[in-house]
Amino acid sequence: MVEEVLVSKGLTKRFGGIVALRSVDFKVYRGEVVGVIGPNGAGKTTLVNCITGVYKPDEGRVHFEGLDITGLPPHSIAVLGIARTWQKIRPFYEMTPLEAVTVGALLRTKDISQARRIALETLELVGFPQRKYHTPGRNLTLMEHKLVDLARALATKPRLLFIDEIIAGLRPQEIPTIVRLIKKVNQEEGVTMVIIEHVVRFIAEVSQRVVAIHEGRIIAEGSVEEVLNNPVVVEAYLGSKPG
Amino acid sequence: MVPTLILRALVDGVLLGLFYSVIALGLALIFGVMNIINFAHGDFVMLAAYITWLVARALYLNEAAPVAIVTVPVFFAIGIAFYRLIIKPLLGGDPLIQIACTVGVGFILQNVALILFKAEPRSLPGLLLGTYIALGPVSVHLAKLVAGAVSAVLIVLIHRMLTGTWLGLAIRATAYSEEVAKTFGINTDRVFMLVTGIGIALTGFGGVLWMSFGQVDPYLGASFALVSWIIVALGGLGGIRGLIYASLLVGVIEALTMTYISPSVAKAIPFVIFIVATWLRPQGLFTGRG
Amino acid sequence: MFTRRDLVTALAIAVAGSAVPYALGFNQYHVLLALQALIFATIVLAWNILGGYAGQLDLAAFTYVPLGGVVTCKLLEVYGVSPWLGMPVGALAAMALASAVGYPMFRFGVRGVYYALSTAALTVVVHEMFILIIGPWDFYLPRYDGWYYLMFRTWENLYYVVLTLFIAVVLVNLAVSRGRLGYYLKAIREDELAAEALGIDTRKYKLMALLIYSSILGFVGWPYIVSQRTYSAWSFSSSMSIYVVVAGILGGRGSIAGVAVVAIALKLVEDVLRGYIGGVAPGAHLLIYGLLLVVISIVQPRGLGAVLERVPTLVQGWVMWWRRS
Repeated sequence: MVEEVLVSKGLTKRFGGIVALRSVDFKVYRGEVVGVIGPNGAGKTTLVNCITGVYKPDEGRVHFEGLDITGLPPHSIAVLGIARTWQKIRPFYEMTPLEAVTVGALLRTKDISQARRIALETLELVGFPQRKYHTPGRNLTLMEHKLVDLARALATKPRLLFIDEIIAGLRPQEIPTIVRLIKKVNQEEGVTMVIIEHVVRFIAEVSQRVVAIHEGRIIAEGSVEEVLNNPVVVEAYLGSKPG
Repeated sequence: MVPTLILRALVDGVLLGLFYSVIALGLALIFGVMNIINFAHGDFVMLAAYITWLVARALYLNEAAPVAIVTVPVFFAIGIAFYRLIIKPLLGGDPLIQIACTVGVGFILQNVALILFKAEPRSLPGLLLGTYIALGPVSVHLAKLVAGAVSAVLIVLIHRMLTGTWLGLAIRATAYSEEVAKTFGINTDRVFMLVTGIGIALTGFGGVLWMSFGQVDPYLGASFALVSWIIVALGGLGGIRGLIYASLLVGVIEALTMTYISPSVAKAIPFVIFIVATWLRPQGLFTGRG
Repeated sequence: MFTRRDLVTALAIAVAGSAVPYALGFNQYHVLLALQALIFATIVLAWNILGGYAGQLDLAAFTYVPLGGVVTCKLLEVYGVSPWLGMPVGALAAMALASAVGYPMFRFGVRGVYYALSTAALTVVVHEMFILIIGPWDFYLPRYDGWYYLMFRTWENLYYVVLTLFIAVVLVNLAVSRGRLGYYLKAIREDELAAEALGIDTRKYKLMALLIYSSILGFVGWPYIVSQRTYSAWSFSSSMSIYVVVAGILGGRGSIAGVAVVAIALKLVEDVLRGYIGGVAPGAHLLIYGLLLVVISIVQPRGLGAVLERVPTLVQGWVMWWRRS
């Protein structure tokens, strides 16, 4: 019986009159890569934000490794071992990749030189080009920003990592790199991962299990084939661009 | 029976508040649409007041009002120039740099005024010969009344423009999101330019209004600046209605406390309220659609 | 914690700085100018921690400085307490005020322009309270002379004390910048939400920066009012605070050398201009400030620091060219 690393029960979030999440029961198992798919506006990012403390859910609870983390501020969530990347990139423009990733590493060690070492290892892990380790953030490409974002999050040594729409804006040639990276981080570093994406083909390639969300509700759960062939899921996607 | 003193203070406060709202409106437009913090806004009012003074004296006028015909279009043009030369390069950049730059513009305006006009306050004769109108038990300076009335009309006009015209729609769309506005084919650069023009034209107006019942010295802008910003912040860019409420609130509080409590406390109160208000609503008090 | 280069730099500043009064022939007018420039630079360097690294636009520098100064002065005048004890008390007073206002601000997420306005508002409130409680007049400092009073008939001794303080603050900046606090503050400046997601308790660290900044300012209050020879409600001034911010920005946020150089240069230029042109065209120096600000903001918004960063490469390039020819 695989351990449940994250459990949300009845998670609900409203914005004024709009219900972004309706009583969402979401589980993540230790060591897996679970994909969360849904058309734009389905509530995927809201789910991540509610779990990682960016929003306070209106109803429901979230447990991480048995601990109730509902409504905790983002920094506490990070300390407990949950990290995330950002759909709309949030770079540190005036810092170099090495400095930015060092910030992440400083969560687990107070020693600057040790943090730098971890940062260097992490940058190497994600395959960031070495000659650009000291390039200020404002001179990086989109792909490089995403790599730094990932490295930053990984440097906090998370046990659970949320990857929010990472391929947005990338060129098709860049996507296989991301796929390989996700698998590497999951298998070599043992990080449990939740991949949020609306591009179905990408999810199919990286996930072991898929959860589909539509209009704030989970409409399907299961293996990749089960979910992607589920008529309810297909209908939800009609009108949005196919994966 | 409400004592005359309070009524007097209330009336003064409302008129003052209306005047503040014209200034704050220009500021709010620029900040709301372009996210630029124009620290020189009050100094433009000062500049307008001096120009009003000069023109009125040159034409042997006693009252300031007619000069508006000149100052408003001129300041609209100045606003456009201000946008092209200064604002445009700052867009999207570091807010501290924007502040530094507009502070610089303010310094330039203040000290040019200081060098040209020296530090003594200047006023127009109309100030002394002012007539008083009786409003019930209270008598009010005519010029102040006119200034208040004109401000109110102006604000209504702008509100109409923003809500009822295509231009207003374009402005509001751009204020909401530059990217979204662009996808609708709106020329955001031109919108920014127009908004700056309007914002500065409003200061042109403000300067004329001020000269009709007050004096000008090079530091006039500085005395407005903080209050205007507080109004904008309190109003939370919740639209024009929020701004009006905030201005009136500030005007009335200032007038009331001036009458009843020592001037020091009077001056400090709006600021204390502001500090505490931001704790309660860090995004501003009167947020709401307007 | 400090590299050899840091210590060498500190030593160099100490030596060069100590030579200044001699170089000026102990001309009191000039030594006073140097003192004032150094005080201003110290203030701006302190501001650099909250404004440069953490990116919080604080406009209350000239609330904390005069507060510290007045507290120290009162302790001396009324209780005969030496400024050596009074200055730390001034620092504590400044820290207390800063936390009283800053803690709720950070807790409620007041940031950006609202933070700036609140600090400016604080200055106005303290100014008015001073008028109310102490009085609207100018207060002249009593004439003391001696190390106990940290006030002298000539200016050199105070200059050396401030020089030491200046070097200490430079070292504080270096320590912060190199350490975890510096990394965290810069991350907060860049993107607070992203910083939070990396485990940074932004409120705690902003408060830390605020406390360091306000305590330094409260400490330097006494040398400040001594160098001004008077204090009044007008010592609590938003305009003076704006100068601090301007210097911090022109110097390039976070660049210690840039900030120090700009602060000293601005102060000296202002005094020189005021001396030579002031009589003819008052305000001309501010006009030039204004022009400088506008031009630099548009042309090189990253300030002097960015230019200084390029100097080593420029020098390298020049050396290589020289070698080749």
